[in-house]
Amino acid sequence: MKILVTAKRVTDPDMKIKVKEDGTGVEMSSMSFKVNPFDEIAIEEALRICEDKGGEVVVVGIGSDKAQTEIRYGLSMGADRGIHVSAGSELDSDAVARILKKVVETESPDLVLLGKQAIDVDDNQVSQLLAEYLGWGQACFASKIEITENTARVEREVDGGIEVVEIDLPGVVSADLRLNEPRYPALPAIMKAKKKEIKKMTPADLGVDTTPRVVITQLAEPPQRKGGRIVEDVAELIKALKEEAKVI
Amino acid sequence: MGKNKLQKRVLDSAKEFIAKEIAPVAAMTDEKEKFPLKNFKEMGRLGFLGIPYPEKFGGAELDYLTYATIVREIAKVCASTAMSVVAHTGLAGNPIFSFGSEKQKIKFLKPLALGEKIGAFGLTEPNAGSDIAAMETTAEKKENHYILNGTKIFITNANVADIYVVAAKTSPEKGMMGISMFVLEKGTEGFKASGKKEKKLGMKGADTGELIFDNAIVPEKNLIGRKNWGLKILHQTLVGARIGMAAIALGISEGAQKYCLEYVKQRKQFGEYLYHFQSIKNMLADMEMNTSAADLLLQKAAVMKDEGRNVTKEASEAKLFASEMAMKITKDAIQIFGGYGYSQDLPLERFFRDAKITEIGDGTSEIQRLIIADEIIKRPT
Repeated sequence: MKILVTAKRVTDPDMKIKVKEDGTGVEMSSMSFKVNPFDEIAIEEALRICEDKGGEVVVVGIGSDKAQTEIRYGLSMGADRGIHVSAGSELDSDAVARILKKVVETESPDLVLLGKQAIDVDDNQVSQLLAEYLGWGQACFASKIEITENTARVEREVDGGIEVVEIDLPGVVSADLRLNEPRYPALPAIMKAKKKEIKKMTPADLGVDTTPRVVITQLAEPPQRKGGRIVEDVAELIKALKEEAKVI
Repeated sequence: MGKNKLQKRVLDSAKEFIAKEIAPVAAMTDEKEKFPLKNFKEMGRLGFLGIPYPEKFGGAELDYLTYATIVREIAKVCASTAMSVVAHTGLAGNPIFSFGSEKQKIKFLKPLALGEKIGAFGLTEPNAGSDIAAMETTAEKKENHYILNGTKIFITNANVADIYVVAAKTSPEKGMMGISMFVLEKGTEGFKASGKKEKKLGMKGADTGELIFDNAIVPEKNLIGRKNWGLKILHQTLVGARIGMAAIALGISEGAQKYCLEYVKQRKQFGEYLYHFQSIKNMLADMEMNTSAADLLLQKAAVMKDEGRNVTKEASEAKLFASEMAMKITKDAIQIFGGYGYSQDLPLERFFRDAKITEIGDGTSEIQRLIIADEIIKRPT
């Protein structure tokens, strides 16, 4: 069983973010970075599947040289090797999916496991686009995965219950929050990870044009919450709810 | 990848575990006086317990500086856990690593480094603390084994350990030159932890107990190094342990300092935030200066140890200064918090109680001063 997983470099979810003054993006200079938590869950699941059935886990990261830190993190969790597609500028989901398609074609994995979305831009598109481009089956937002001979049986959390999907392998599955609890990398594994191979390639090598089709034109912080107002009596409250807040 | 980058990665990973798993249970560990077994085992799996030892003995093959740094990070949130780690990795692990045979390392050090077994170190006795020549525990040679008799007290991890490294006199007539070190397993005939759990001022989560040797039968192959090598082994072990103790003391100080820096920006008195007051600024400045100085002494000792140099003086300096500063800083921290600092709702009083042992364990402050003075008197003038 060969599983391809992703490790996107994202801003630390525990940090407060600040929008740049010109509104073109987020102030990155003082930020710390981590593996996208959903990708971490995907890596954990891939490791568990391969620990159970044998196989290889390959971590793919796309971005600047710094993105290698997150690939190494995946390797220190236990993944076997990494692939770094170096890309300087911000890529849109479509470019990422097209790059991943090419990587999949060179690696021919049995399963591609991704985080359902990256917690920085929350686009939630890559898994679906990738499955479409590959012409493979997809099962997104997995809360449980069972691998049998040539299929994956995936439970998805939907409103009001669990939906069960069965897809043929090779296929694309994206990980939801409750799929598992990722392990902490052990210190000796961190040491070993530095010796594991990370293959480097560029979008040009893969023949992918990364000219963005989606451009972020403006980011703005949510409006500041205004303080409350104390009303005299119930009549005034009802009036305010009806006329000002317009909720009743 | 440079060494520093790798150390940072190791440290970041450790910090995450410490923040998510150790910090939330620190107050309960103290209050219930309960050894943090679950986290201890998990630390073993993650490689925290064998940091300075080679991979073939289950270690992470990192340096002593990284070990000290991680101990310090643990002590920032839970000194009891840090104390249990240094007793295990430093005190019990180091004699086996430095003086044990290959077989002993595989049999005893490896399970310690992997956290499969827990280690304890037995030196102190009811009548022999700083004065190790007064040791009363004896080990008498009989055929291919030794018979141990005596009692060890104030032993960290005594009731939870599986592997014990203990000192006993093999040639009592030679005084402190007649001591040998042995490694014992739980269940050895004639040997047991009495089950008595010491009630202490601080470090309440660390298990402290006593060991009883009543004609304990210890195979000759469990002798560490050679007969009467005890003093040499103890010296090296305690020098290393003092770096660990300095790391604990510094961690406690930094833990307390962090709370203070947050509080002075939140608390208002007389219409001003606390940080506006000069007397508060004085305390904050002293805290910062003293933790920085302790940090430098600790790093110097650890780096020199990693270079294989003699760090007798440096380890004592780091431990002495860091522990005395931990007392001062935790005392000032409570003062800054006033009544809130005295309350068990906040961890400041715990830091204060935990700090005291760092002035006592692995050689009291008075002994450290003797060591430092003796080391500089020895120098040619």
